[in-house]
Amino acid sequence: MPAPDPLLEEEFEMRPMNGALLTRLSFYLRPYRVAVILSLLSSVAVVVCQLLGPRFIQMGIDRYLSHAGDVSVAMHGLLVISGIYLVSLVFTWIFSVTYVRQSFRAGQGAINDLREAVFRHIQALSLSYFDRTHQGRIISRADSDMTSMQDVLTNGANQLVTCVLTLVGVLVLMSGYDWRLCAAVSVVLPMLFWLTYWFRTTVLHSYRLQRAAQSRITAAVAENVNGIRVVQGFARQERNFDAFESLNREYAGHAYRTARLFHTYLPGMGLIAGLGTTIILAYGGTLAVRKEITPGELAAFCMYLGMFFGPVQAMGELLNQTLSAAASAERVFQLLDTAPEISNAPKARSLSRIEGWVRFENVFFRYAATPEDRWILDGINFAAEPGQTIALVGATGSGKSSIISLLARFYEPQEGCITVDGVDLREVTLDSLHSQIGIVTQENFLFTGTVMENLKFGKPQATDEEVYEAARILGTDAILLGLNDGYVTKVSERGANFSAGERQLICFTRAMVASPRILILDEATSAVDPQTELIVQNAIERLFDKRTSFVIAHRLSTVRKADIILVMSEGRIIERGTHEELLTLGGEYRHLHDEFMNL
Amino acid sequence: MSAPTVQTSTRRNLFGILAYLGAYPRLVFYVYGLLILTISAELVLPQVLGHAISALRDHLAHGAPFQPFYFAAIYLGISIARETMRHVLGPFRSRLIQDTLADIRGDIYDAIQWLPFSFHDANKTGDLISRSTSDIMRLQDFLFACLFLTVDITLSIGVSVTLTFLASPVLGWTLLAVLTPVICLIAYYARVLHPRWLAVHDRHAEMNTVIQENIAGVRVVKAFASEEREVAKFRMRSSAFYGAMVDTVSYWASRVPLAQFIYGLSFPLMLWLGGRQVIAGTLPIGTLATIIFYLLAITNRINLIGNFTNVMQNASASSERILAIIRQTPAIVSGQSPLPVGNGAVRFENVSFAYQEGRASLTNFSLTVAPGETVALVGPTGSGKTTVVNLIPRFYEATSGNVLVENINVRELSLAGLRRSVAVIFQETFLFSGTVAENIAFGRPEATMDEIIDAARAAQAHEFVSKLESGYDTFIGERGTSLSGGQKQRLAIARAFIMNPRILILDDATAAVDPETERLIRQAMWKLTENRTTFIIAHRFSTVKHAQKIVVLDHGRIAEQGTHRELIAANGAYTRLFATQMGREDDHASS
Repeated sequence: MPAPDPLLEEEFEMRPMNGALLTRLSFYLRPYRVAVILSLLSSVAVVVCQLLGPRFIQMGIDRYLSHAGDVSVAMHGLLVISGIYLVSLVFTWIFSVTYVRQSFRAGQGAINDLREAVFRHIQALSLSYFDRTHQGRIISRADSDMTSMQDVLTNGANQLVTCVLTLVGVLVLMSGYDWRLCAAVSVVLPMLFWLTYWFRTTVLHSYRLQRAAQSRITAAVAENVNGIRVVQGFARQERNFDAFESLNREYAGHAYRTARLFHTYLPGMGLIAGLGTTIILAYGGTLAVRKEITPGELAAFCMYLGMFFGPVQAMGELLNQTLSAAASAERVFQLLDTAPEISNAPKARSLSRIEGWVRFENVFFRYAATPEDRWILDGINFAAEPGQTIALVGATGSGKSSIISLLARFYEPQEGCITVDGVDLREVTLDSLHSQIGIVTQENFLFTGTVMENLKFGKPQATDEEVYEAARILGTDAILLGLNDGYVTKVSERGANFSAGERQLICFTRAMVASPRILILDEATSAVDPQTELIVQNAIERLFDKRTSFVIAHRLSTVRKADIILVMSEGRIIERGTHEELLTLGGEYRHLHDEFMNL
Repeated sequence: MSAPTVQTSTRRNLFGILAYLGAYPRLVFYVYGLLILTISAELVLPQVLGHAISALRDHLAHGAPFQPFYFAAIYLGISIARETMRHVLGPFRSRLIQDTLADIRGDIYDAIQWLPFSFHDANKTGDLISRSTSDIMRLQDFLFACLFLTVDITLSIGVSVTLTFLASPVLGWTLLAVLTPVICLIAYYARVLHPRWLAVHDRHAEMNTVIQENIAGVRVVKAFASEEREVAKFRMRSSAFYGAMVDTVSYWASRVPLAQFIYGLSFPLMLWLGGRQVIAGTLPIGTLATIIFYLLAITNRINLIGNFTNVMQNASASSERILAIIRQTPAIVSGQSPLPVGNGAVRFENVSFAYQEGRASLTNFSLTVAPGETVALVGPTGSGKTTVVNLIPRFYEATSGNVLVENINVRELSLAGLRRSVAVIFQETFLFSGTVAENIAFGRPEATMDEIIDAARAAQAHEFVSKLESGYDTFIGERGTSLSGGQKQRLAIARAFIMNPRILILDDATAAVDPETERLIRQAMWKLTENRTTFIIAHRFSTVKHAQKIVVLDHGRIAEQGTHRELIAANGAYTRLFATQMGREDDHASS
C-alpha cells in the first residue's frame, strides 16, 4: 500500500489555539500595533454605523409616516432623518477603507516577517535536518502554513470583535424596543449556532475526502503525462482511461457529497430565518395590535433579524481558520525552535587561504538514522598533500559519499578529527571553509535564471570575462556558446531544458569560476555521447589542476590519473595506492577493474 | 479588427463548454425550473411583510381587521416551500456540475493519452497537468455561474426594479439611477482588479520558486556558502510580492467601498422620496417597506457581480486551454490491418523526417533488417539515431518515405497491435506507482504470476524483488518503496520481456551503477535480444561490438554501415567516433 500523503494530512490538521501560541504569534504583530489598533477601532465604528441603519428607518416610519399630522413638519423631519442616515453611510465608507488598509498592513506585514524568519532559519539548518525531513514539508512551512495563518492574523481579531459586537448590538437594540419580542426572536440564535457548528465539523471531513480524491486525480494525470512514452509504447491507453474514469467519478462523488452538505446547511439557515420572521409577524403583530410596539419597530425587528446570520456564519468560518492556523503556527514554531546541529563554535576562527593539506584521523561516523551498532565510516585514516587527486572507489553504500560530506562539514564525525592545513574543522567558521571548497554533486542542480547567473553562483562578484576565461580553460566554452542563447540562455526549473551532459558541464564551469582551494567531485553517472564524454574527461582534468581534489569516481579515466586511490568497503579503506600499484596488488581493485573492462 | 475575433472565439469556447450540459437535458430542465420557482418564492416574501405592515397601519389608523397569524402562516408556508425546493435543487445542480466536469476531465485525459509524441515534445508536463486539474476547477465556478448566479442576479434585480416601478415611477427611476452606476463600477473594478490579482499570484509563485529551489538545492547553497545571498534574493522576491499585494488591496480599498456606498444611498433616498409619497398619501407604507426589503435582498447580489465578472474572465481562458487539447486531432491514426505473423522484418525505404519544418533529422534513410538481426545505431548527439527507432512503433510519422514491418507499411497496421509487438527500453526508466507485479505486467495486465516471475528472472530482477518487504506486491513509486537506478532498469527490462516482442528497441544508456549491477543489467539485456530483431542506440564501444550490423549516422544520413571489422578496416567515421574509447581498450590490453 502506498503511504498516505503527509502534506494532505497536514493541511487538515487542527489544533485548539492556546495562550502560548497566541502570545508568540502576537509578538509578530507588535511592530504593527498602531495599524492593529486603528483597524480595530474602525471595524467597531463600521458595526455601529451599520446597526443604526434600521433604527433610522424605524424612526422615519414611526415619527413621520404613520401619523397624520402636520405635513410640512413630517416632510422636514423625514429630510433630517434621511440626511443623518446618509451621514452614517459616509462614515461607514470611510471607516471600511481604513479598516481594510490597516488590518491588511498589520496581518500581511506580520506574515512577511514570519516567513522571512523561517527562510532565514532554514538556511542555518544542517543537512541532517534536510535528510530526515520531506522536502515538501519544509516548503510548506514557508508557504501554505503562512497562507493558513494569514487570514487569522489579518482578520481574526477584527472579525471576532465585529461579530460579537453585532450580535450584542442587535440584541440590545431589539430589547430596547420590546424585551419580550426580543426574547422570542432570540430562540433562533442557538439554532443558528448549533446548525453552523454541525456543518463546520461535518464539512471538514467531507472536504478532506474530496481533497484526497483530487490529489489522486492530479497524481494520475501527472504520472500519465510523465510516462506517456511508456503508455503509448505499450498501448495501454484504454486500460489507463478506465482506471482514470473510476478515480474521476469517485472525485465527482465526493464533490457532490460535500455540496449536499451545503445544500442542507444553507436551506437550514433559510428555514431558521423564515421561522424568525414568522415569530415576528405572529407575536410582534399581536403586540402591535395591542399597541405595545409600533409598525416601524416591527419592520426594524425584521431587518435586525437578518443581521444575525452573517456574524454566525463568519464565526463558524473563523473557528475553522483558527484551528488550522494554530496547527500551522505550531509547526512553524517547531521549525524555528530546531537548533542547527552544526554551527560555528564560540571561538571559531576564519580559515585563511587553504594550502590543501587534508587529513582524516581515526574518523568514525554514522547518520542519525543509522542503527547504533553500525558505523558508516569505521576508522578512516588518510592524508592528502596540496595538489593531489584522491579517488574514492567502491560499491554503493561503502562510505565514499560520507567521506566527502564530512570533509565539507555537512556532518560531523562522532569520533576522530578532520584537519585542513592542520586545523581541526570544528574550530573554523563554516563560511570560511565553504567559500574555499568547491563541490560538484551528481544531481548537477541548477537554479532558474540564466546560465551566466548559475555560473556566478559561487562567486557573484565575478566578471563575465572571468567566466569566459574559466570556460575556456575547462574547454566547455564551445558547448556553452552552442546553447540556444549562449551564456544568457534561460534555465528552466532544475535545468530541465538541458541535457544531462550540458548540465554537468555547466556545474563544472560553476565550480571553476568559484576557483576553490579544495575540489570535491561526485561524478555524475549518466552516459553521454562519445564527444561530450571527451569534453567531460578533459574538463575534469583541468578542474583538478593545482588544487587538492577528491573524486567519487565512475570513470576509469578519472581513477587512473589519481595520485591516491582509496578502495572502500563497508566503511573501511581496504586498499590504497596508485592505479598501477593496485593492479599489481591483484586485490579488490583489480577485480573491479576487470569487471569494468569486460562489460 | 482583431478584437471582435477574440470576442467571438471566447464566446465559442464558453459555448463549447456549455455544450457538455447537453448530455443531461432532463437535469438541466429540473435545475432551471426549480431555480426560477425558488427565486419567485423568495421574491414573494417581502410582499407578505409589506402587506402585513400596511394592514397593521390600516388597523391602527381606522380599525380595519388585522390577523397577525394569517400573515405569519403564509410567511412560514412560503419559507418552508422555498427552503425545501432549495434543498432538492442543490443536489440536482451539484450532480449536473460534477458529472459535466468529470466528462470534460475524462475527455481531456483521453485526448492527452492519444496525442502523439510530437505534441508532448512541444508541451510542458506541468502545463498539461494544470489544464486537466486547476483549469477544470475554474470551470466549476463558471458552470455554477451559468446554472445559478446569472439567473439569480438578473431575476432578483429585474423583479425588484420592475415592482418598484409599478409601485412608484419616481422610486423606480431612483433605484435605476443608483443601480446603474453601481453595477457598472463593480464590473469595471473587477475587470481592472483581475489582472492585478493575477500579478499578485505571479509574484507569489516567484517567491515560492525561490523557496522551493533553495530547499531542493540546499547542498549547492551550502557548498558555495551562499546562504546570505539566498536570504537577500528571497527578501527581494518577498518584498515584490508584498508590494504587489499592497498596491492591489489599496486599489480595492479606495474604490470598491465607494460603489457600496453609492448603493447604500438608495436606503435614505427611498426613505426620503418614498416617505414623501407616503405622507402625501400616494404610496401605502407597506409598499415602501416592501421596497426596502427588496433593497436588502439584493445587497449581496450586487457584491456578487464583481465575482461573476472574474469567473467569466477565468472561464474563457480556461475553456480555451482545455478545448485546445480536446479538439486536437491526433496526427497519428491507427491503420486497419492486423500485424501478420512474422519474426520482425523491418525496412526503411527512403525515409525522411523533420521534428520542425525545414530542419531535417533524417534524410533519405534506407535500411533493411532481417528477422532476428541486431543493429547498432551510432553517431553523435542529434545525428538521428533516436529518430530512426521512434519511427518503427510510429511514435512519429515519417515526413516522406515508408517504414515497413513484416513488409507492411506501418500506417496500414493497427497501432495497438504494432506497438505491442515492439518493446522499447527508454533511456530514462519510468515506472508507475503500483506494485512491482503491476509494473512488470504493464503491457499485459492479464499475465499470470508465473509469467511475471519468469520475466523477472530473465531480467535478473527476481532476486532483489524477493528481498523487498512484500516481494512482488511491494508498492513502488512516489510514495512507495524507492528503488535504485539499477533495480528500476531491470524492472523495465522485465516489463519488456513479458511482452515477448518481435522487435526490441534499446537505448543503451545504463546509468553507470556499480560494476556488479551493470554486469547483471547487461546480461539481462543481451538475453532479451535473443531471437528478436533488435535496434540498439549505442554509446559504448563495448556494446557496439556485439552487433551484427552497425549503422553510423551523421546529420540524419547514413555515413557508414557494416560489421565492426569492416568499419575498422574502412577507418572512417566509425573509427573517429570511438577513437577515445578504443584507446582506453588498447591501454588495458597493454597493461
